Amino acid sequence: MTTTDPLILTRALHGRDPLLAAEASRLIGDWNLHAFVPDLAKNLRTSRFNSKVASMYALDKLAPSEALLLEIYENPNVPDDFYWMGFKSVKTAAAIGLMKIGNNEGEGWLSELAKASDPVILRWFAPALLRLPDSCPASGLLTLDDLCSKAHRDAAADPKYTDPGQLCLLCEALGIIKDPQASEHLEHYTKFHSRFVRGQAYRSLNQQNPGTTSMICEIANREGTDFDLLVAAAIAGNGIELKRIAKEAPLGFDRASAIDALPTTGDSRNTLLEGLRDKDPYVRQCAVEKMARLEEGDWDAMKDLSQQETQLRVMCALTAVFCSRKEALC
Amino acid sequence: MLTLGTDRRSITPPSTEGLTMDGMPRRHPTLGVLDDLEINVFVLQDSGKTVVICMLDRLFVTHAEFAEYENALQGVIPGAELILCATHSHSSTPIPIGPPSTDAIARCASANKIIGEAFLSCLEAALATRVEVEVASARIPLLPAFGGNRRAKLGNGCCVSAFGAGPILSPGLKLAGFGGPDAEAIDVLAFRKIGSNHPMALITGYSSHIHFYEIPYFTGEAAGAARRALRKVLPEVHPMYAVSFPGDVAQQLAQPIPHDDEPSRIRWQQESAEAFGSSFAEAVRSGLETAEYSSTQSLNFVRHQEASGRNEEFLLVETLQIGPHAVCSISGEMFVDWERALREDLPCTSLLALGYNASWLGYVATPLAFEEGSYEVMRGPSDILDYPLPTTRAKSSTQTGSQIIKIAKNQLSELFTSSQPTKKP
Repeated sequence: MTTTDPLILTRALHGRDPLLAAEASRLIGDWNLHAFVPDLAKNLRTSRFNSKVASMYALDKLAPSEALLLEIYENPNVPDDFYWMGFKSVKTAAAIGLMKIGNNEGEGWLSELAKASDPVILRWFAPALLRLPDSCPASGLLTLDDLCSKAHRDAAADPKYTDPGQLCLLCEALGIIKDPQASEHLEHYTKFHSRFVRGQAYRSLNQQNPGTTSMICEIANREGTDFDLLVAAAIAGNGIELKRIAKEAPLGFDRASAIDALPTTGDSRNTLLEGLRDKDPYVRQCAVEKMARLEEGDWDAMKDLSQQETQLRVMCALTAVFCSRKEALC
Repeated sequence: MLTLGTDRRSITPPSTEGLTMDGMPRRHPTLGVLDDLEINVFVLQDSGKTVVICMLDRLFVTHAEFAEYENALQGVIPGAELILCATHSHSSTPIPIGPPSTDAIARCASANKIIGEAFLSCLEAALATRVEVEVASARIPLLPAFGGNRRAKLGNGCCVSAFGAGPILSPGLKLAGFGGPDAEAIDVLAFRKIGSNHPMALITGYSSHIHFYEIPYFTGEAAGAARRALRKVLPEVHPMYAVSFPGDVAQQLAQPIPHDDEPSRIRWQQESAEAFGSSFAEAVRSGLETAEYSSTQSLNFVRHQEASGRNEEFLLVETLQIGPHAVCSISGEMFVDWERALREDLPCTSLLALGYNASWLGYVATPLAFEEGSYEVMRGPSDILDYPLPTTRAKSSTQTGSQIIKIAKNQLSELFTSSQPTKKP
């Protein structure tokens, strides 16, 4: 098997590493690899991991199937580990997927979760719910009061509501709501202790009002972490700063995020070439995907990488981008 | 010359009726016992100094319990030092289910009394059976790692818990990888009777939580399975199982629950524990084949305790020197990254960390992990004052981990700067 053999994606999808399987699903969806639709469906049916919803999202892009979504909605086939919200999250993802294609079977379920102020709907799936077309009956289930005031009250009793992972999604959801009060909440979160929550608050504020860019850059400079700076640079379109962080940041995740945020122009090419040689596999993976989006991407460099790559997540990314070009390597 | 005596007893509660177990929500009252819970006691003596290492199959050890056991120890061996730790079994510590009945409270008290009595019995038996020993250490890879990092890093920078059925994933998010390293190796300190070719006792340390699922039975979980397997492959050995830096590492990720019905879940938990136990025991057996034993005449001990942080939680760090080897007792739930920090520039030949001593600090995360989030750190660090939500904060702060590592490193430096040379047998 070569490093870009399609079997790599199939094996990743059905292997034991749930993160790798989810990433393989995302890659298949993002790179429009229709040949893998049966594998995505199989993964969605048989995997016992919550992250198999990545296969659902990929199928949503490639070949949405009402019958399959109904099947998963009825039987998520993941452990009902109620404390960790896994069963509920897969069922919720299926309910929202059904609504997107006009089937309201899951409306009652979503309403029940909303009434219970369940974090699955109040946080993890709030952005997805708010992005549903206005014509969907569940599109109005979440109000600003649900997302903020009520949740703040609940936070006193349940620390789950103050988890940065959940607050990041809250900030994403607030960015979708066009309301000055949502902006006020977002400004509040630009002062949060987690750089990742602040980063999402910057993005969402800017989404609501592009005039906030200079304020965001000012806050990011004050906070001073590479992550604050790279999000602000991405918002301000500051390619020079993004390239600096992509090269110099000590944390691999920051270098990868800077690469993700680079524009898909020839100016980014040299930075991406360095990214392909980065010691961190996630940086290499992001560089592969970004390089493949460039009009003048260096495919020879990616072929070279494919000859020596040993990390499965990078091999999956290489396989996906080469398959999307229907290259001989695939 | 260093001497060692060991003993173990069952501390399984005699009656399980009306009880559940602390540490994880159960959907059923306790139904019985899958395998025995244990107390394991090692008594080390040299040149008039005595150090007792006691490991309990319990969720944790409280400050009050530590004081009680230390008091009991002084009654038996005045001047002896105590290292008291728990395996952090989530299927061990009884609490009444629902509104506590008088009977259920009495059964819990009875379970605690049994442990106290077993401690004293073990002490007496271990003292009576002491023999002169040599010591060896090993750091043995366990591959594939059963203890996997249980936090998944999302493309937005945050981490999400990846227990059991893995991470929740919202639409549009990438999975950047796991939130930290796995548990890579087993640390072993082995003791051999002078003149023997086989170890007689060993202490293992592995940086992973030991529980799989909230089954309604008392069980020693992965620690019990590892001890059983070690006794099988090394029949003359008394094994003590310790948990080192398990804060963000667990075994649930290794083997997802395959079925939804309760009997299958119980079977799965038993099979998972046994699979871990046999791999663990085989790795230890094989790793000890080349271990070099040496006699030693240095047994030294230092302890640091203080009220730490905003809430003045109990913080305890102890370091024991056995010749060129170090044993550190530390807080439970320390993230595995702290293990790497402690191992940098070690002044000793080997280090074995025993987590879940009587410190009461909850999860001890790295500063970055507090920013990333996940179950372990969802409350936020105790030293962040501009927290915008009205909630309780974690017991530990962003500084707690580095504080513990600094204390342990100082203790290592204090003990090993003037350490005596070891003698080959």
